[in-house]
Amino acid sequence: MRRLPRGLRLFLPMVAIAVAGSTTGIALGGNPEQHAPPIDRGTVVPISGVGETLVIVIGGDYGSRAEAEAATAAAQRSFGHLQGFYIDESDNYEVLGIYEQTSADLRVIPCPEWRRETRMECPRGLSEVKAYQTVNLRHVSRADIRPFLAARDEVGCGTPGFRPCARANLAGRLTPAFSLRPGRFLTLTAFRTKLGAEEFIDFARAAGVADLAVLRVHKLGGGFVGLGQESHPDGSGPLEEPLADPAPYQE
Amino acid sequence: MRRLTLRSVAIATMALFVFVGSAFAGHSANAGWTHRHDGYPTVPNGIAAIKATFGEPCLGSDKNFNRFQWVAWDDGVAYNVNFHKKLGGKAVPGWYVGNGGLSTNLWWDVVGHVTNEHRPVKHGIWGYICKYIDGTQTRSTHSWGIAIDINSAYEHIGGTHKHNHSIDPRVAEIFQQHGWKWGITFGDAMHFQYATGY
Repeated sequence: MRRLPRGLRLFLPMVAIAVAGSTTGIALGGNPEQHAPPIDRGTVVPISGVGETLVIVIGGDYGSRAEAEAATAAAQRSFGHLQGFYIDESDNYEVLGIYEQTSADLRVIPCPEWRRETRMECPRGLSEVKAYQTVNLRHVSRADIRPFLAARDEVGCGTPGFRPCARANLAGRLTPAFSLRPGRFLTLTAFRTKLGAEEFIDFARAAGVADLAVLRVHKLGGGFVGLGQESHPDGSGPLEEPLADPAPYQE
Repeated sequence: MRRLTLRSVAIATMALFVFVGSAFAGHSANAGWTHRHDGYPTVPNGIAAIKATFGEPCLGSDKNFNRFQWVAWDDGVAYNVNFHKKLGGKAVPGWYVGNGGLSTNLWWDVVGHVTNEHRPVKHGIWGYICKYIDGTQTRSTHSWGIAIDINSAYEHIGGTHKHNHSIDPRVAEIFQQHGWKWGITFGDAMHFQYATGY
């Protein structure tokens, strides 16, 4: 019997081992993506916040849960893989105050000034940029809601350089007695600090979600509405428990 | 001899053009920019390594984060991008450095590459935000300030959307060359994160 050349004598067993190995791998492991170990992400236990004083950011209120779910799903497309709004009934909230945004959303900066401030060039074709400003909220206590809503928004509100127009949006969500309209389904997310709400608004407007209303409330019932998604005032990590005295962080 | 001399001159002239061109290409947007690749942290794999490298999530935006504003080409809006100090803001002489930082990864190298190559980013841009992943109580990598979403107004999400609609391939390549994982592998093309296994 004729001997195979030395090169083939070495090569053929390697091919056989490779084929056997890959076949065994497929048989034992299948598609590695389908059998990857679950990723540990340290899931957090949700807390409803019933009995707490909270800051809520309302995206909308609707006559039925189905409408609210449709609105939440639509908004979620803007937020990507990050959680946006939750749904809860308006009867679960007692209004303690409202917030107005005292900062403009945008400031127009001519490109030469932009270059001096940031040392970055404007993209080609632009003569100016519209730069988002830090969100600042001012608390208006329940006793001061009436005069606040009776005043007019400043001329130019809602345009770059001016604060958002707030009064019509807020007034439309409240009864004459300054409660939330009863029997409604809110799309909202809740915080224990004003700073948490400010950071969310910055995120939401970047995602194109506008006309938000911010209220200070006492939560009377209902389910999880997003608590735990803000930093602790002491800078130690997420705020996952009620604050002993939340008022300084909300007013 | 004469022919050889002419050929040499021609080759030398071409080489000079190539050298000068390459020296200035990529520096037309921000004079003086050049990448530094200084102080990059090891890309963490999994939640334990993320915490070991970047600490707890949701540390707040003042002490632990830097910020820059990224101008979208399509709407001319400068979006706030907060990010962990370990990913950028390390002092570069004569340049905006924000709140100080420990590396030149995002703010300087990634953004500098994208800007100097005139690569477009489009509207809907954000970085740090203390947020859960949609429909869960698990924290997104945005909660550590180690993730950025760009072009979010154009990009579909979901496990079946493992393709890119609007993101300049070179922008994605630049992020990946600097240690960032592209979320397109899990159906989130707008998303880049400085971590794996999460």
